Amino acid sequence: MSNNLTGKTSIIVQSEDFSVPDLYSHLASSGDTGGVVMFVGLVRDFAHVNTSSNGDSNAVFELEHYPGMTERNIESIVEDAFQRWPLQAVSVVHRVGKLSINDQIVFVGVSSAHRAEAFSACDFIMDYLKSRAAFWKKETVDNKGKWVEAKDQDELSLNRWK
Amino acid sequence: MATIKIVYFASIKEMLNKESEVLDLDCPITIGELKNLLSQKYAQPELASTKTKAAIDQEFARDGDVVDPSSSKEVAFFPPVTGG
Repeated sequence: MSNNLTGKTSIIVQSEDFSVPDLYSHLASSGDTGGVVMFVGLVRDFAHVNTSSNGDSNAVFELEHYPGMTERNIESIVEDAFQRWPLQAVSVVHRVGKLSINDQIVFVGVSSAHRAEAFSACDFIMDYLKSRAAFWKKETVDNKGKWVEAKDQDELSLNRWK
Repeated sequence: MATIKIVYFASIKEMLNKESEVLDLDCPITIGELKNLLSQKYAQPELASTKTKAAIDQEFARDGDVVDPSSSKEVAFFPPVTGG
């Protein structure tokens, strides 16, 4: 839960929202950074209720994690990315707990001397976050809860990095 | 004889209506065997399915991996992860 933004790697699992500009300034602050690639994931409108006139819906989105293991999973994914590409800094923030439609859920930011490495590393980290980090999503509409099932496609997309 | 902590997450936790429990084990047991044992204990065949994933001391584990009560402290069971 600590908001430690020093060093090359920052991994945060928290219930609070995050500030993309703050995360960006940190990633951009390294002297030899040539570019920063960032991905921000939002809670999709899974219930199709969040129309312009209906902001007050019965849709609840929850994220559960395994404290300790989740952070270790992300650390290992980020270490892997540092092994594969020459990166300056990596920042990952993943939210847990109750979220609403359109809320920010995940941030992955990578800074590197060159664009291609930063794009690849960001893509790689997101792919592995989906299939190798201990998080579980639950969608509840009108008090009917459903755990999101893992998609075969998410596992298959890891083959791109083998 | 040693005790290990079993923790459950997401749909497995709801299915068993239990977050964790302590189990006495007198000899090493595989994750697959432990899944069978628990699924019988709770009469929940789904728990023994290949869809139920596991971790030993917070490292992902497979059905053939061994839980050694003299060194392992915590085993977790959960559905396939869905982060990101």
